[in-house]
Order: sequence, then structure tokens, then C-alpha cells
Amino acid sequence: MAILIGGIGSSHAPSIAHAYDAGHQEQAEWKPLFAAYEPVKAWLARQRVDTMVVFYNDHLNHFHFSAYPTFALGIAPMMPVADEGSGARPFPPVPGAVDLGWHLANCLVRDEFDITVCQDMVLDHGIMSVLPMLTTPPWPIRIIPININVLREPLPSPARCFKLGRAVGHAIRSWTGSDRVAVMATGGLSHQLHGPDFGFTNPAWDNRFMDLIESQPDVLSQATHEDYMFRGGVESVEMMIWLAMRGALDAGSDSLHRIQRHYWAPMLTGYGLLALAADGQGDTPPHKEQT
Amino acid sequence: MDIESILGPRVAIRGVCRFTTERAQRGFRLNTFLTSMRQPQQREAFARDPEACMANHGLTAQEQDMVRRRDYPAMLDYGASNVALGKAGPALGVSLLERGAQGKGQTSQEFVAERRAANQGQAWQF
Repeated sequence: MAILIGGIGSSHAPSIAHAYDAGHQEQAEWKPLFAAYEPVKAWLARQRVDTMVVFYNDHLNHFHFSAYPTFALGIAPMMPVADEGSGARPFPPVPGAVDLGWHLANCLVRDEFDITVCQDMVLDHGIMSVLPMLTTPPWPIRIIPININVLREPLPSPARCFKLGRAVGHAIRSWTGSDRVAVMATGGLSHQLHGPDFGFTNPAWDNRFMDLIESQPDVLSQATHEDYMFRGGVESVEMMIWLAMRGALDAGSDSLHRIQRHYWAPMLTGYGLLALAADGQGDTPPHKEQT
Repeated sequence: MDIESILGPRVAIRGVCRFTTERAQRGFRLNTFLTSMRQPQQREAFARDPEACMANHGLTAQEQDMVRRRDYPAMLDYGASNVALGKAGPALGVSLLERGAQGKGQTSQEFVAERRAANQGQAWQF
């Protein structure tokens, strides 16, 4: 049976991709952010994670408003990197996981999530600003992207995102393959990208949000879109995507083991990172093995 | 369960412009134009002859005027998706920081300086 190793929440942002491509990994300002991903990358490698389900939002790079799904699942053997307006980044295509992908599609529709299935996908910074910090090309981890509409109203509710994650978690655990699976959510944290408060961030809220994702996700799932917008900024409503990741873990916080947590908000958005090992997948860091 | 007390205080966000169903309907043609700028040939066409490019996309006079003036607040209020505006940023020659400055009525330098000052000295790891 497939094993759900754990979950990751991470901000996605063009600025992270720009810093990565500019080689700022060792620059004093950026180094702590990139360094924060290293223990998570090591954990994924140590746990031999071979498949990752990624809840994210596309930024009009694969989908257009001519046909814009509320929830969409990518089932493709290979997924190229999108040209987002100034040329595609020079990464090889990312492998998909079609067998587990179709299993997810079957389970989700049976569970009344009538999800759009996409048999080809291009991946934008919603995934690609994060992936290179967690694994190395040519990508040993297969990706199953799940796009959530956080752009055009009507948006799915936070509660619905949480339930979608639960259904995905159940589907992963019921898969007969031997996959070692992680779930990830990307998005947020606080940002407001229009009007007189353009550039607003809310570090206190972002940190409270990361507390609650771990300990009280049910509270976050009952919050409204406005609860998010009027704490983290209008565009920060995408933080609800993290609830899908947390829903997939489907466990009390006592049974989760925190691998990493990091936060930084230098300019226009709060960069958050949280990695949680799932129940029974307690991970022993190398330095503890020696004691 | 008192959700509000667990979530903590709300903040006032000024000039909120959500991408509502009404804006999505009115802005569909403009958003299609903006997102087309993902394609290199569209970027080249716009750089070569912006007026012809906009006309070819069937933009109305009002839509063309807002694009011509790079009037982001007006485009957003009309029905441009903020993400679609981002796609067209390189083609229109306006960066995110420049849009931020425009939103606040500042120069880009003033905007960056203000953001840096606002973010300095924070204890990031709570």
C-alpha cells in the first residue's frame, strides 16, 4: 500500500524563482530562506518520497478564463515549465504519476468532488518556484498537481478545500501501489497587491496561521474568505490552499512531527514554510540516530 | 467556538478590489488580451505596433485607453484580473514594484524604501 509520509506548506512567489535563478542562495539577504528548505529536502530524500501531490493555484498559465476549473487534477506523464510572460525557466519537464493520478480521480469523483482531469499540464511558479528547493533536476519525485481556483469568484470555501484534502488523503492511503507520497500546498502567505495598501504584509497573522494549520485546522476551515482577506490582504485568500494539505494529513497535531518551520517577509509577501511528518511516519534526523 | 478570537484581529485594507463575477464578465475580453502576452509572438506584435495589436484583440476604446495609459487601478476596477495584469507586465513594461508605487502614488524608489522600512527589525520566527 502507498504510504503518506507527510505534508509541506510553502509560499510560492515569482520573487523566489528570480532569486533562485539569479544565484542568490548564498547572498546574505536570501540565504536563510534557501537554507530553511534544506532540512525539508533532506527529509524527503531520507524518506525516499517518490511522489508528491501538490495543491496550488495556476496563474493563468495553463488555464484561462475561457475554461477555469474550481478544482483540477493533472494526470500527465510529463509536464513542461510554463512561459509566464518573459520566457520559460530552463528546467526539464516534470514527471507526473498517471497511475496514482487516475486512482485519485476515481476516488475523488466517487467522494462527490467532481474534479476536472487535465491530461496535459504546464507548471508555473505555483509549483516551480518551490520544487527546485526540495528536489534536484531531473526530478526524482513525480508530481500530481491539483489546482484550486483562488482567482475568480465564486471561490471554493476554506471548508471545501479542507474536505478536498481529506478525500485526497484517503485516496492516497487506499492506493495499492508502493508509492511513498508527500502532499504539499503552495500559496500565500499575507500579501495585498493593489490599491493604497499595496505591499501590506501581516507577520503576526501569518505566524498565527501556521500555528493553527498545525494545531487547529478546523478553525481555519470554518473561517470565511473575508476572514483571510482582512487579515492577510485580498490576494492572500490563497492561504486556504494550505488547508487541503492539512486535510490530507487528517490527524490531530499530537501525531504530527514538525520537520521545519520558517518565516520571512522582506518586501511584498510573507514567505512561510512548514513541513509535518504524518502519524506513524516519525522521522529520525541523522543527528539523533547517533545517540 | 469563538473563531474571531482565535484568528486574531482583522485589519483595514483600503481600496479593496475583488475579482467578482461582474468584473469577470466585463473584463473577459481585456483579460484574454492580457494573458495572450504570455506568447512570445504576441509580445512581439504588441511591441511592434501596440495599437494594431489591441485592435486585433477587439478591445473597446475604453479598454485601449486604459492599456495605453497603463492605468492599473482603472483596469482592475473595470475587470482586469490582477494575475492577468501580471502576465502582461513584461509586455507593458511595468514591474510589480512599479505597480505598487502607482497604487500608493509614489515613485518606485519611495515604495521600495517604505516596504524595507516597514519590514525592518522584525522578529520573524515567532
